[in-house]
Amino acid sequence: MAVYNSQHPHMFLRISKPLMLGVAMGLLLTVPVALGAEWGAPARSLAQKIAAVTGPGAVALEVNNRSSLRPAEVEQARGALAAELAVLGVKIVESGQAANVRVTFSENAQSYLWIAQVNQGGDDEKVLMVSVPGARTAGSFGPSSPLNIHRTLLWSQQSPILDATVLPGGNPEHLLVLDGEKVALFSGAGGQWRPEQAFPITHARPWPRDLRGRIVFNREHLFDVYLPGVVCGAVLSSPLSMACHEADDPWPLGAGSSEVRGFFSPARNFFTGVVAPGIGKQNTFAPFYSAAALPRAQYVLWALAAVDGSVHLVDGINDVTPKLPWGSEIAEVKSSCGSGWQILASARTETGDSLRAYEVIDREPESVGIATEFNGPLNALWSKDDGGAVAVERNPDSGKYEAYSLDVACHQ
Amino acid sequence: MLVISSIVALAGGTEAAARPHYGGTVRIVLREAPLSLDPAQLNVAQGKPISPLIFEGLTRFDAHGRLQPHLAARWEPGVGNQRWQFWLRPGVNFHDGAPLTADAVAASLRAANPAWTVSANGDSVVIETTAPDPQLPAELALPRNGIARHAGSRLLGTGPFQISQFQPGRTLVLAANEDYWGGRPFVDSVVASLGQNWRQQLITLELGKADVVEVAPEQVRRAGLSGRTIVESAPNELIVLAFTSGAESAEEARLRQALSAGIDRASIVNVLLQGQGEAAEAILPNWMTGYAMLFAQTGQRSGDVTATAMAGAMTLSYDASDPANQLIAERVALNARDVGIRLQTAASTANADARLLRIPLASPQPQLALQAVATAAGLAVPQFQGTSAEELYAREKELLQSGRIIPLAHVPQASAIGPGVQGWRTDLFGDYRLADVWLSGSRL
Repeated sequence: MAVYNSQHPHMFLRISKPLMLGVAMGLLLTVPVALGAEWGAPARSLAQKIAAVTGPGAVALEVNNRSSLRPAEVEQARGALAAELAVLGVKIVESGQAANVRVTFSENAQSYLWIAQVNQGGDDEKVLMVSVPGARTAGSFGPSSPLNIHRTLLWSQQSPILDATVLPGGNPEHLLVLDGEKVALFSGAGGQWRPEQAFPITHARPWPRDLRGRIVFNREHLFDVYLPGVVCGAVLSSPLSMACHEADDPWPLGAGSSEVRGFFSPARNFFTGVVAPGIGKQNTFAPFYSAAALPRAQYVLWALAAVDGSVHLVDGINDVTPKLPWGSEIAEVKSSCGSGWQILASARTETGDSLRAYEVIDREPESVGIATEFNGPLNALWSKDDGGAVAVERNPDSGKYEAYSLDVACHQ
Repeated sequence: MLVISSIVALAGGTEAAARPHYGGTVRIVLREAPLSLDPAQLNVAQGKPISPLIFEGLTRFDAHGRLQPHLAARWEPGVGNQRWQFWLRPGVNFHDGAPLTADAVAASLRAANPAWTVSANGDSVVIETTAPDPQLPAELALPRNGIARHAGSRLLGTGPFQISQFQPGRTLVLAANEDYWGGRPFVDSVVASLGQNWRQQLITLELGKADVVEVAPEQVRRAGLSGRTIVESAPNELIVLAFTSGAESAEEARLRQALSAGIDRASIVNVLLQGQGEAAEAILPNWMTGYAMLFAQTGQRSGDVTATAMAGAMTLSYDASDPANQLIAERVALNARDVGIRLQTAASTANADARLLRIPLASPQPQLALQAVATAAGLAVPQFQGTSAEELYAREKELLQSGRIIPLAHVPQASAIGPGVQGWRTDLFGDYRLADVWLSGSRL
């Protein structure tokens, strides 16, 4: 119990089939949240302790729940305990001359705690305890409502997710999840993502606080990863591998296929404002957190969410700064609605963050739907090549980071 | 676990949609007025919240109270939990750029713990204790075990902030550690005003001269009504009556039992502490142990107790620097009279029979917290062979049955956060994680 060893989740499984490139992304898979617990071992342990005090015979059993266990789980645990007691020759009766056993399902900061108070008459009450590892997992989301923005849970984990992306094509589908230590590769099977491989990220300098990073699909070698001061790329070998090197290479802005790239500060959490090859004739802007591209017939209109809270709409000639209630996260999405391209922009709510879709007509963004609320703060928002986006939320209830695939649907 | 999640959620509610900004100075005000910042000079309950910003331990507790590796990447106990080996995290430097070495760690731990034998072994440190110590990894998370190195007149750590200026007992200025292994803090500096009482702190906040102040439990509701953000920890302070000696007779023991049973703890919490905290009949709060309800005194309330209580006279002293202490002491005296006990209260009397104490629980690790309470109350410090709940319960029961300690309430640590402070996350045990804080608007 007193030993701690850092986890090194490097798995070296081979990809079962070559990934097929260039095929449109299919339905995304959700990962069921595992609920429930295995009560057999703690029930056996507590039953043995009780039987050691009472010996075989009859006991009156009273069960109380002072934990976050749900009634159904309490019944399961009670049943498991009764079954284990029976195995040890302890029979449960209503009351009478039997010993009284009062079982309380409790919990503390570390674990569940099962307590048995055994009273065989007189003042000599024995108190027995068993610690039961376990933690309440996050609640699931309710059914989707007819909102503009649809989201699908891709993956959740304890460590901060910087980006996630479903690789186009392939059978089965493959999901990449980026955090500060690795890129994890999962394959879709049976409605779940199963881990296939993990590629550790090497870096010489400490990561900046509020670490950011993104995964970009690459048609030649599958994917690239951009982190502050570090660039990684997949190496098509068998098994698949990844190589990282220290570099200040500019990151793709907007969807990964965009030609416009922005330099990211290696020691901060924002883009420096220098872009290459430039937007029109301009290649220097105010430092910004995120960018979204809206293709037009003759040009591309870019929105930049600046560090100072302003929003810049730039097309290479003009730089308009409308007053908008946008947060620092913006991304473009493609849809069959309106002009065909909208901007998703974050905003603060009382309980968490929200995302709202905006249509930009001329240079005036207009809200075109109902905001989608998140329970906690958004940690990342990136456009994807398939026209959708990925958002990462830190769920305040579970403490986990949850990556969602986003797409915009029109009201019918 | 439900309690914990709600606390973290409360604290997390202060975050904005915008990403963190770098820069600025966060101003905090504290009651503590340390004369030295050297971790080796601290006792087990001292050092929060400043010391961990500068000096880091081999381990630390996360926001949920779980022990995690910190300057140590991993550890292993020897047979019998008397010899422990800790392997250091690579790539960590002191504030002057010198690498963290096993020799430096060993020297720092030896200074704080003269009874330990600490030696460097390659990239690891070996700690040998005089008796089995299954709580050693948790002990290393205490501020007093933060790793420090003396370089001339400078005191260096590895934490996210380094000492810029220090006027003992008055002011501390910290500067961001640009090369911190966990990422540079968002703010450039922290200015801490030390030795300010509750009232002075609230006034400072109201005048806009502070960003973070401590709030007395009984003032939390009022402070919250003023529209400020209030963040609270889990209950991590014990209000307790501690007798200066054991009961000298069975009758005196019964008197103390009668006093304990006669105290209206609910009124103390609901009225005097304005609902902040929990009535306590156990030494450790339930969130820490899960079994506190077993110490509830059922079936021997007032009527029964009065019949058994004998007339007696006791004196109870309290620390008058906190006005709430006097109110609690007087309420205890009133309850004592109801059960036939004459109890006189007095501020800071040396020869009192009992003292009203407010004891910080020192650590989320319940065994360490129990030892800290015993030490502060002048009781025999319980020793542990392991970390089982049954052994913990047995040791806590022994302390309560000694008749020298009567728990009254567990209270949380509360802070008021001014406008413009973002990203504040009070953790379960009330640590200030200022490296994650950033400033917005006019405060930037």
